[in-house]
Amino acid sequence: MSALSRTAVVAEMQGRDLLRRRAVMTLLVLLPAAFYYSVPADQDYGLLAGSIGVSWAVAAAGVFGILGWRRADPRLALAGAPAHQALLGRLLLLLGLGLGLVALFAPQILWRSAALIDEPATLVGALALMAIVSVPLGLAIGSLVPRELEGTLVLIGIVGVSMSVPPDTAVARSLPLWGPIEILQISAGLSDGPAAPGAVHALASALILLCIASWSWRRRVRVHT
Amino acid sequence: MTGQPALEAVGVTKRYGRRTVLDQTAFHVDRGEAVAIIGENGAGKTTLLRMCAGLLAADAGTVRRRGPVGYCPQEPGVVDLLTAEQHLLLFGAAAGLPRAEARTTGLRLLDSFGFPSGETAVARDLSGGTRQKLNLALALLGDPAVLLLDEPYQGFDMGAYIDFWAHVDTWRAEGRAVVVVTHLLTELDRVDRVVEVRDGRVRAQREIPA
Repeated sequence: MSALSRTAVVAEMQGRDLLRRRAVMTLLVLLPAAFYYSVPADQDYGLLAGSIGVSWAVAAAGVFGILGWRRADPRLALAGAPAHQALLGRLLLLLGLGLGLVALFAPQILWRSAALIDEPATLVGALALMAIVSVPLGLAIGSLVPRELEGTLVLIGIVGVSMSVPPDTAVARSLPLWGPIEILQISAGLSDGPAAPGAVHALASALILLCIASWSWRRRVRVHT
Repeated sequence: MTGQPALEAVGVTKRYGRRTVLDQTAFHVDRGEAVAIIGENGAGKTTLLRMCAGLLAADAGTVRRRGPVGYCPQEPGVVDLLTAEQHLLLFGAAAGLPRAEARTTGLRLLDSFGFPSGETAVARDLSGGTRQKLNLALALLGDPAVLLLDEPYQGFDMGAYIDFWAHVDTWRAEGRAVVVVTHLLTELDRVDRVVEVRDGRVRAQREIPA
């Protein structure tokens, strides 16, 4: 069996597992909408709330996807599954889910908040980057913490601080969601300057989070000799 | 039995904080041999088995495994929301088996343990004994040379329990090294050797006459 086939089987089974978590999947779709529609259409804060909802939903799927398999994963490694393939399978599945969620959600924002948005394509890009950063964020948290409760609290902390900290501070720039939030501000005309630094920050954050997830994951499923 | 043991633990020590769970423990299992590990609750049996599997690092000492290892944990290491057949595909893929082979081999194993044919419930909804049969089948899917079984018959009915020991005879005859952690001392005549773990050490090893 090729590495690609193994990765595909992990992605397939993770997808089946997530699809059977109907409450989780319903919340995954409804959460960004709930965040966004709870703010009046003429207030730009709704854009931030909606994008944070995307991040929260996608990252939570990653956390629960990893921790729901915590008893099985070491056995899979013992059976011969290379650690990076199991993680890659999840990464691909969750990226698909996250970008699918953005495809569902972005048209609603573009339609309802049209008056607030100067650059629609930039807004879609910000939402996509939010999903792209949030997948490894969820995988990293899921790999680092022992249980769902701890994972949820860490996620609440990171996402909550990202929402509340002023975006032009060093603390904000050190957080993984700064890039997508910055680009979101640019799309609504709330911030000047090019989107490139935000995009680079987002992609670098995703890469760093993926490295953390990979390191922690390998420790978790390592077969000791 | 000649040649090197299929599984060999030498001077294995494990501590959790200040508590020493295993202290300079040593034992081995040859190919075609069945060994029972017995001991009181908290004696360190499961810790020893997890270290033999490679799922837990030793603080000191070495474990040598020769050949693929199949491990059946006490608590089923399965995914709650996958069916038995999906588990076979997942664990089969981990072992490098093509889908068709994983399904065929796995279903044959499940059938041999009396797993209900055509069962489509997810693992969470299976009875304890039925889930344990899946747990056991997954340990065997990759054709392991060393089988590490931690009280694998929990929840089995009497028929399945008797069948389990018949399977141990078969695995041994196939040349596998079989280690069974057990509390049920009435079946110790079914193995070749009994290893007693007490206070973190192997206190006694005795051969069982054929």
